[in-house]
Amino acid sequence: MPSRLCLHRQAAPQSRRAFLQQSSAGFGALAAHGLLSLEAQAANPLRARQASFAPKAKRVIFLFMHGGPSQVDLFDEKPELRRHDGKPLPFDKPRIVSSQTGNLLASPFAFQHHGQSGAQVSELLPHIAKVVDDLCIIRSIHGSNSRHGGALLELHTGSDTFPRPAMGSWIQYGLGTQNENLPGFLTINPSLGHGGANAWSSSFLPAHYQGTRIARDKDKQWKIPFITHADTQPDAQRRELALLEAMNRDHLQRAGADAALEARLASYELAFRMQSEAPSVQDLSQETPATRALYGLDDKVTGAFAKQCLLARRFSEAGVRFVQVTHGYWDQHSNLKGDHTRLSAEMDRPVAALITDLKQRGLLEETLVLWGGEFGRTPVAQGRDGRDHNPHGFTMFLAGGGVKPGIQYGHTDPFGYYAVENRVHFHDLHATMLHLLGIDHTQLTFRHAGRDFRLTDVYGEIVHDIIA
Amino acid sequence: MGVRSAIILLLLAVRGLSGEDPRAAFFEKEVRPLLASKCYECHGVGEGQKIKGGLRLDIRQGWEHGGDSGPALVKGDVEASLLVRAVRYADPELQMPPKEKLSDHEVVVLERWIVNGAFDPREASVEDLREASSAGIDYEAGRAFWSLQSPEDPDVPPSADGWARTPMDAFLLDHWQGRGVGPARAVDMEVLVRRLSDALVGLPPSLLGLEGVDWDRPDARERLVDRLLASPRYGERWGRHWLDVARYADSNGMDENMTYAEAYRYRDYVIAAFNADKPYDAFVVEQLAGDLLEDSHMHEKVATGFLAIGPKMLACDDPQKMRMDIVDEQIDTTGRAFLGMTFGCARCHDHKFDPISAKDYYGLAGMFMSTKTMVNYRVVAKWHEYDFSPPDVQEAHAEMERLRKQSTDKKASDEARAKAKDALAKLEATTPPLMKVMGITENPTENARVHLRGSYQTLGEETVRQVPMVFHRDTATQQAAPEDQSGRLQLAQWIASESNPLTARVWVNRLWRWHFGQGIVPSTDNFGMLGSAPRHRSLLDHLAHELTRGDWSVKRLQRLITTSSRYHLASDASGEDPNADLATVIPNHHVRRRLDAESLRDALLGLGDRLDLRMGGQLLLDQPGTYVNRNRLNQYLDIPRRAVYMPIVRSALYDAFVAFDMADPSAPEGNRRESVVAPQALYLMNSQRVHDAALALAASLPDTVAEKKLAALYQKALFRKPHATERERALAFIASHPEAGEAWTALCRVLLASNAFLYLD
Repeated sequence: MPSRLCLHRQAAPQSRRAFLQQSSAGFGALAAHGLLSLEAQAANPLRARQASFAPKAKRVIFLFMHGGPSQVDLFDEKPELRRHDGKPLPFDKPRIVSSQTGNLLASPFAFQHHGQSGAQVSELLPHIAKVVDDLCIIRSIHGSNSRHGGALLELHTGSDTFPRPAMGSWIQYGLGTQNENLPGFLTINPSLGHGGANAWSSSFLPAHYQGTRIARDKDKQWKIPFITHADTQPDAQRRELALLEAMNRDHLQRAGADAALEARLASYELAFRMQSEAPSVQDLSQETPATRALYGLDDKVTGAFAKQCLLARRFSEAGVRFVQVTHGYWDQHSNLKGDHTRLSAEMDRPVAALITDLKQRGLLEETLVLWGGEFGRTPVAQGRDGRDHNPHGFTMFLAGGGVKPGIQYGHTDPFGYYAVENRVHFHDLHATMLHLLGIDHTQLTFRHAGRDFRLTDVYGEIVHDIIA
Repeated sequence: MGVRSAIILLLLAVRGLSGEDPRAAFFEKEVRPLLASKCYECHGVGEGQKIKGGLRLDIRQGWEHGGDSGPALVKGDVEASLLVRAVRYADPELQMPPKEKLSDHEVVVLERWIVNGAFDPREASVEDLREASSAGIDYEAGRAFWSLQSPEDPDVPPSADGWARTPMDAFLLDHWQGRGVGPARAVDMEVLVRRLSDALVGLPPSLLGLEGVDWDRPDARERLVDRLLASPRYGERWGRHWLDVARYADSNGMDENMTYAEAYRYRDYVIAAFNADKPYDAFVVEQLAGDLLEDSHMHEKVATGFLAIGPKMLACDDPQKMRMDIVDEQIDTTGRAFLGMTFGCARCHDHKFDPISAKDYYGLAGMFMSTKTMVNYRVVAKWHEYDFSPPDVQEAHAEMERLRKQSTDKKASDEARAKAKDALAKLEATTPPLMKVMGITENPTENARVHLRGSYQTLGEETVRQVPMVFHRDTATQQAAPEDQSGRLQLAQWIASESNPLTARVWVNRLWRWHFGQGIVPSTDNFGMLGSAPRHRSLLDHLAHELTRGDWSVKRLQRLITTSSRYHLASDASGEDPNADLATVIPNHHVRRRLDAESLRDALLGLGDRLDLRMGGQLLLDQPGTYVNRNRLNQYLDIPRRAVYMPIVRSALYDAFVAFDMADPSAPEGNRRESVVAPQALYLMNSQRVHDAALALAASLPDTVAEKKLAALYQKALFRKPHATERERALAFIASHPEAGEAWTALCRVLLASNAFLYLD
């Protein structure tokens, strides 16, 4: 096979030939959004490159804990930290820190062993504790940036300096969508702060791979932008679309062959199908009382996040490749005890329910669930009841999608500051996620501004030890 | 704690190892196996192995010479040895082995080895010592690359048949005839007027007051072109193109999304520059070094906003990283915008494809480090601004600041506070805002050292502030920046000189791209090895010479292009070879273009007679020095000004604009996509703004019989009469509509969503 570096040349964006030349693996997606005929697909030389190995996961649900939940208060029990509460950290703090911190601060929360795997989980997460045997808990995640903006960008795009395509965009670019009546990359209620749309932007990848933000409209309904118009009667719209189609066909006939004009005819059909399908996917009234109870949908504390998790499951089930939900704000520079308690109560039950629900429906095997924040927190205190940002060692967990269930991977030092064993950088996490989806992270490239870009830049090692 | 005291204990317990040199025994028993098992994988020579960081630990000379970061250890000095720092894991940026920390015992072994002089019997072979590093960049070969050679001024091919009106046409005709095709037919005037009107001013012709124009005059096209070029709308249209390249926005957009409250002055400068036909060379110099020109006033300082308005991580705990990231963004943007060169690729290592070394990159970096973009790198960092307020206004603001403090001073009496508050209110009511300008200025000069792998923690050799080597004919013509100047002015003048092989080419190629949808060089922002080859080099070079011959006048070139025979070709591909590869040849017909995001919005407002054509000024509602409020987008969308004036909030762009391929202001973009995606259809079907536009358009039509009303609608929206089938369908739709009052609005909605409206033939 020729080297990927000399395989393709950059060319005009509107030419689909050029697009294919620019892409290394986006072929399936291009096909899926209707710009390619079946013949063209069959003739495409890039097609065979797509699946060099069988994917274990088909889709991703990312439960993003915005703000940076504290590993030493949730998943990473540290007896040494309890023992040395109030004493100075016996080794150097990082050269770059975001705030001045004091001495060691023991977790105010108790931990217990759970499940057959015996993972220790904080008392804050009683529901997640019940599903630990389904989780692959990585306690040695680390990133490069100690500020929300940089860290969040790196977690979502692999770069902590400049906007790059989001991982959801890369995944869609690599795999396309499983349901072309829905966007392939959805982010529900994302934060607009700390870089906002940079976290779901396709950046230099074609706009089709842009994440679609689902936000609440003025009626407090979660909606895809422009999916419906309040005052339009379906009959009237159908009549207008019929005229539009007839006029566009006339226009096409006068114009002669033109791929863009043809594609636009198709895009209206697709838009109409999306408009028809999306509301039913979002209709939670179809869920059974048992499911509603499982997620805590009608509970005041858990209701809001339960709704997002349930929507995530429904979108995922309907074939959306990458669904992100966001919960926060886990940034406890102060009032750690109170706020971590409150946030955990909101998050714990819906997340555990999602895992259980996916499992019951047989979806967990092919759905990769990722839980975590842009960084963790320091084992040393900020003020009396707070912790500072800590990108040097923290916990995220994976579930389903071909990862080993019921394991804990990696270690931080005895106080929970630095990842020291089986360290997993964000780049490694990205490489591993792509691998689970059947994509070689070194081959998923896009030529832009003079070089071939990857989600993992020049880094990333697959963590084979956690793959089932 | 434990680790450190353990070392001391172990070091004190020096035991003799029997029989041989104890240092050798220690090395063989403890050190060699440790290095072999934990380090060789990345720092040893094995089959197909790449040495990481340039450091070998499998031979003594490896660590003596060291890697990219310098010698790995200092004999006898544990604390000064990089190797020890790395294995102790105390520095998050230098941790080895990267995957897993060594055991405390292993760390102690290495420390002890170093304390005792780092005995190492492993000798390098000759082969080992051969310089492994690349031979560097072949500048001679680089200079031979087409884009780095000066453009020739090619002879215009002779052209007999009278089709060619301009030399540009003759080049194209020659190009097509070589492939055995001739030019497509010419378009009708009505199509041409709509095409020209969108291309030059970005508005439908019905909004331009062209009633009464005699389209049958032989010089009607030229007169229209002149009229459009003279319209202030021209600068708004073409200024917007440049703002794509300048990655213009009104906020920072990264973590801390601060208001760029003064950026609009730069935007207005750009619009005015196009309207005034500022020569392109002056336009270049002002944006890069306007502050350094003799006779530099506010106007020229505003121009340097180009370097200041980029996205920045304003909250970074590492000020040195922030500084170098900002410098990098400036180098990358400058290179791509003016030269089509991806200098940014050489930040971490020599450019892999183009003849630009890391040393060249840091030569440029020195210029931008010697430039003051920021006044500090704190969290949240603050950028440099000029203050052009009159002295009394400045004083009033200083006084207001003093009163503000006083009015909240807890130590002062209630009476004093109240008094200060009163005085403050009075001053605030009468004092105009400060007239600040976001722009750069000079810093004390400094040379950059090469940052190995892009990190300021691993510095290499010092570089000279100068333009990259490949642009010097030979080392004799190398010229470093004057000691007391950043070199930015010299850089700007070099870019803007006629002898620069890239500048004129890159610019005429941009103009071509914005007119015809694809550049002569399709990769508009990359003229390097990975860019596209020119589809017609003589044409490109001819146009580059036309630009400089015309003293870099942009309007002159616009006139040449838009009055050419090429410009009048129909969007009719029937006479083109269906297998022609448009990446390598220029088609013999016009290529249909979709309205871009701004043209679409302006037309939606304008056709309903709702467009406010006032120019310039600040529409952003956020105060200087505050976070930008992302929740105001809908408010901004309601302002009926031209799209170019709508605030651009980075990382929170307008959904509908993004759907229609608005340029992402996080990086230069000279080649917007023209995508066809379902969200565009959803927007046109369901957006309240499109509904409002249809309503206003319908209301603006004359109250007359259906047939005449339809003709008025088509004239207004499409600048033509409806075709017979269009008329039949539309009239039937109106006649059969169940709610007569809604019928015309519905028809307008359909027309605004139709390809006939969205595309320009």
